[in-house]
Amino acid sequence: MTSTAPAPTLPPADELYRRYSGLVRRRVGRFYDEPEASDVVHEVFEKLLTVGESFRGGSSVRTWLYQVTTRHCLVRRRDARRRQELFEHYGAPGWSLPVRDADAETVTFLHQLWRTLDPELAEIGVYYYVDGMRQADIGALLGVSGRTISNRLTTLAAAAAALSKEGS
Amino acid sequence: MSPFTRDDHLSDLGLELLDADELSSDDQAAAEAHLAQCATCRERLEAFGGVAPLTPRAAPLAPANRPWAWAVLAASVAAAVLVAVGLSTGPLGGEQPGDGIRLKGRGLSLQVVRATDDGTAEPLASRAAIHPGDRLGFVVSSTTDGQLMVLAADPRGQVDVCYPQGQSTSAPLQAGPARSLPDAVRADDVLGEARFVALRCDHGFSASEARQIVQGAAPPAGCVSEEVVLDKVPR
Repeated sequence: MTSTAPAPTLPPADELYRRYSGLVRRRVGRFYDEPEASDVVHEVFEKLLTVGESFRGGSSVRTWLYQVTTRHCLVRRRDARRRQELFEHYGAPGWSLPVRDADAETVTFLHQLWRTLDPELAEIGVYYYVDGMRQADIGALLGVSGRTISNRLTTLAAAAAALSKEGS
Repeated sequence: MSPFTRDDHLSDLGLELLDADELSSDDQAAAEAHLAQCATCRERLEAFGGVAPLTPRAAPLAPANRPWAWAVLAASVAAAVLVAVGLSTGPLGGEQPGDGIRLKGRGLSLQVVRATDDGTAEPLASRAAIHPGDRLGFVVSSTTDGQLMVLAADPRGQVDVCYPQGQSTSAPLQAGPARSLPDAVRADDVLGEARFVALRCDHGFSASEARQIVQGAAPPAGCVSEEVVLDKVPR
C-alpha cells in the first residue's frame, strides 16, 4: 500500500500575517524607508494571495517568504524612477551591516549593471553582495547548486569588468 | 543552510531563522556562540524587537532563544525580584539581607526568575514548575567579592554554563544584593529535574572545574555554591 503525502500549504492568511509580518517588514526595510515600507509590506501580503500557490514546501515558510519579499522589492525597484534611489541605498556605508562596505566590484554592480540584469541575476547579486550570503546558501535558497551560483556570479563579474573597461 | 555570511557574521536570514527557532541544533549552537562574542549581531537581533509588527504581539518580551535579550530586561528583572521578595537594597552586612532571601552561612544566594508575558520577572521557588521554552534569568546576592559562574544540569547529566555565556572561565562578582546577571537561558525540551548552581570562588576558575563540582566533586577551598532545583514539566 502506498500513500501520497499531502501537498504542503501555507497557513491561513490571518495566521500568515500574524506570524510573519515582522520578517517581511524587516526585509522590506532593507529596501525602503517608512512610510513607504508599510505600503510595501501590505503589497507583499496581497501578492501572497496569488503567489502562495507557488509554495511547494521545499523550504520553510520563513525562508520562502524571505525570498518572495526580496523578489517583490527588487521588481518594484526596477521601476526606472526609483533606480537611482536604490543605488544610493546600496552604496550607503553600513547599509548592509555586517557585510563589509561595498568594494569596487559591488559598486560597479550596483551603479552600472542593475539596469542590464535579468531578475534572477539581480536577486543573486543582492543575496551575495548585499546580504553577504555564501554561494551554497544562495543555491539552497533558490533551489539550484552552489556551482550554478558560482557561474552566475562569474557572469556578473565578467559583465562588471567589461563595463569597467568600457568606462576607462 | 548556514546562518552565517561570508564574513562569518549572522546573515539576515540566519537571524530570522534563529529568532524563530528554525535553525538546526548545530547551527543554533554555532549562532549562539557567535552572538555571545559579537556585539554587532546581538544589536541586530535585539533590533528585531524594535520593529513594530503590524499586528500586536501577545507578549511584549523579546522572542525566545535570545539569551542576550535578558540584558535589556535586567533592570526590570531586578526591580521585580526586589519587589517580589521584599529584599532590601541596602548593603549586605549579615546573614539575612532582607525578609525574603536568606544568605545562609555561605553568603551566597541564587534566585531563578522567569520572564512573564507582561514583561516582568517571576521569582521561582525551589521545586517550582517550569516549561520548555521558558526564559529564565538569574539574580545573585553575595556578601563578598569573588568569581562567579552559574551552571545548569539536566536529568541526562549534561551541564551547561548559563553565566557567563560563551566564556570558558568565571566572571568577576561584586558583593551586593540582588544582582541581575546579564545572561539568561531558554528552557529546552528535556523534561525532569533541572538544577541551577551558582558557584562563587575567591579565585578564578574554569568551566570544566565548575562542571566537575556540579557533577559531585567537592568544591575547593575558597569556593561556595548555591543550588536551585526546578521541575521541568510539559506545558
